Amino acid sequence: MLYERLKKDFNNNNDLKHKSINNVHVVYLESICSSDAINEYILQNLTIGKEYYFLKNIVSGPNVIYVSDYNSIKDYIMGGFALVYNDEDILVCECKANLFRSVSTPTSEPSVNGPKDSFNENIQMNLGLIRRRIRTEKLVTEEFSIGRKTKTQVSLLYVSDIAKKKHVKEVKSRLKKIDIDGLIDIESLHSYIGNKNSTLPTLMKTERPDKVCTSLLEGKIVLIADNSPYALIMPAFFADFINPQGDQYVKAININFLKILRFLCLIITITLPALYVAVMDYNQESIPLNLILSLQSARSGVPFPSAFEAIFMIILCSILRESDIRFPSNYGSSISILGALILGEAAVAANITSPILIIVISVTFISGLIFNSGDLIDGLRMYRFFLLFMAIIFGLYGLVLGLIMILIHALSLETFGEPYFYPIAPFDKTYLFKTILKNNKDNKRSKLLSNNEYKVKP
Amino acid sequence: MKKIIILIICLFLLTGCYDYQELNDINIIDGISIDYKDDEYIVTLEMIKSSKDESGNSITTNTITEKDKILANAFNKVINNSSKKAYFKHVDLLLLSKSVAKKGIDDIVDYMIRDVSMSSTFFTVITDNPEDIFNIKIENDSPSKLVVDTITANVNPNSIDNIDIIASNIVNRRIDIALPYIEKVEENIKVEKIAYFKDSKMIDTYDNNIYNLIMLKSNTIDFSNENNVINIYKSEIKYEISKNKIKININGFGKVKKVNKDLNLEEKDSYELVEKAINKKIKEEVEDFLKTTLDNDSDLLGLKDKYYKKYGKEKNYLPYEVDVKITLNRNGAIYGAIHD
Repeated sequence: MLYERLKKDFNNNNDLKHKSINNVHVVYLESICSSDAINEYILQNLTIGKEYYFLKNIVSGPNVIYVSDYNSIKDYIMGGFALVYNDEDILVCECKANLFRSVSTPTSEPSVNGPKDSFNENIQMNLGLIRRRIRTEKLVTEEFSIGRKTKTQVSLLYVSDIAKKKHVKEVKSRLKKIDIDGLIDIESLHSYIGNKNSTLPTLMKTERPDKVCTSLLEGKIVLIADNSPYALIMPAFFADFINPQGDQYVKAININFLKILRFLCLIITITLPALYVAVMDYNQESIPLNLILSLQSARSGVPFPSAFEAIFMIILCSILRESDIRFPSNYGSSISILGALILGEAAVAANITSPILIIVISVTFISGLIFNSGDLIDGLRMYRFFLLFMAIIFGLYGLVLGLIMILIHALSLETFGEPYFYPIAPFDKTYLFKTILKNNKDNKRSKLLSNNEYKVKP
Repeated sequence: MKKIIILIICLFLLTGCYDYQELNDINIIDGISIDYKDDEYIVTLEMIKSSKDESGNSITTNTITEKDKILANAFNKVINNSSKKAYFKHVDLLLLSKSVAKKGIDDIVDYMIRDVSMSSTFFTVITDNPEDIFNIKIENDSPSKLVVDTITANVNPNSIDNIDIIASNIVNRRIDIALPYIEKVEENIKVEKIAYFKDSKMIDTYDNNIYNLIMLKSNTIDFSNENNVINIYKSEIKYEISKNKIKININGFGKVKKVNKDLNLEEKDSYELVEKAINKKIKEEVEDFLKTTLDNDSDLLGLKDKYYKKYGKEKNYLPYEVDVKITLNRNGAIYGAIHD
């Protein structure tokens, strides 16, 4: 009777299987259940005896639950459980098939130093990777189900004696407000709980369990979702996106040079094309005579204005980069060869562009690629175009005006009620030495993220 | 919000690109020369250009000249004659002829500081015939650059007065100006003199060396006396101003480059002899320099200005006394005298 009702509700789906042995019925979804597990936990036991009144004694799986509500029966079946019932009892037994890949190395955040494991699509495995590192009962995981149709399991993680209650409350309230059909990947949450008005990211996405654990121990809050190989860390400040996790494992005295270099790259990648256009079209007095002469001779055959030339080259490079990402790598290196040939040789030979602009655009793109946050790269691209247009119209004055506008915008941003440009504005020495620079002392937490300030009591 | 959008659109449409100039649409002016003949100003612009050839980039220059009775008109004519827009922000050299300097450079300085398109960091130099200088044939460089390099070879470039300082000194009238005086020798430049001025008019020329010493323009100056050559590598000048006299103390350090054959530097007294001789020589030269310039009413050291600042009164003539004390380096071992 129950099976008939389920079959009807599941629209006679072929993968809904039903077996009946000795008046005990077993119903499960073949596509997400492991037939080995069903056989081992349920079917083998059923074939031994004749009559069974206590199902609990037969079903031997590790996760067996009595259910009485019809809707939850359906949820369990869709979650990879097998329904076992007779005239007396109804219970479900977890028989999930292993549809997930094993733990692999990080692909989008590679690092020379530190652990080499990364999250995969299995939320339990991801939780396991975090719990293996933080072995305390204070690590709280709260579960949410998001998506009317997908019912995706989302876990909210924080360390209860470190994280601030107001941050946890804020994240929970934002999660509860989400009412969508489906959450396919955790990145979709960006538009629901992050800042919508800025191109800069206010949530940090990572596939590294070590990064998640470092953030949890600083008082941040982490979201992980089933079927998503990424975790979201919040609140995330601008300074968090500049430096990779690998810095944690290198001596402070050696890494600070690189940290400063990365900030230099940040400035180069957004300002260099604009600076080129401003200098070529407006402020020729700002560069030495010898350089201006070589620039003039390099550009002598190019028929286009340098503004057009710069826009053309940036768009061309963006197209190349995009096609390089989308193009399957096993088709060979044709894109790279095409790019190198078109940009490096043919464009200069055909007087479409000048060699100096090739250098400018290359340095711009290479500087932009040192950041491994795709969201940050996308945000910076917008700023690069904005500054370029300001420089095309107003020259160096426009570039400075644009930079001031960007600064005003970025400084006014907030992430979960906290200032986005923390620890620079407002200034905080403790967090500054955890992000922008590094020192060997790491005995304190930032006051903004945790009330439990001292890691080691002084 | 609508108002802001309209404002931004207006800003972009009405204000943008007003001073837009493509790099390849300008003629970069490297040097300017101004001469005065037959009641007319002759303005010459030296344009510098880099072009690609088989051996790499080569620098070429060409000049255009125009004349008019009014300086601004002469400039306008020469700018209009330029094939592309004349770009003055990289001017390195303003070359003034002796005739124009003797006539007075106030109107030239006035024009230069008032023109916003003009650079203000060029060197101003006096010469006999500017045309000769711009005609120097020099490979892969411009004559203006050659002049600038020659002037700055021995003189601290920061100590050379730019047009703003020249203008301020002309207007101030208490400190007179002196500008480098260059001469063409075959295909090269020689800077051995300065042209000194009374207000805006050039008076005459004088030896460069002594001027550089007392104006602290150079870090290293050679002085010779009776076969002794001393290099002064550090010097300072102090003024003691009293009601009736100004005392000028020149102190410094020097090293021996060459000494007379009769002197043996291993003997202690020899140094003192050389020191005495060179201090005497420098004192005479400084006194001669001051006498020559002050007799012509040209106060290059600004002695009247210093007196005015201390006592609040102007005094036309001030007796002065010069004291020179150059100490020679005795450190280190010298094996035998350094003879010819």
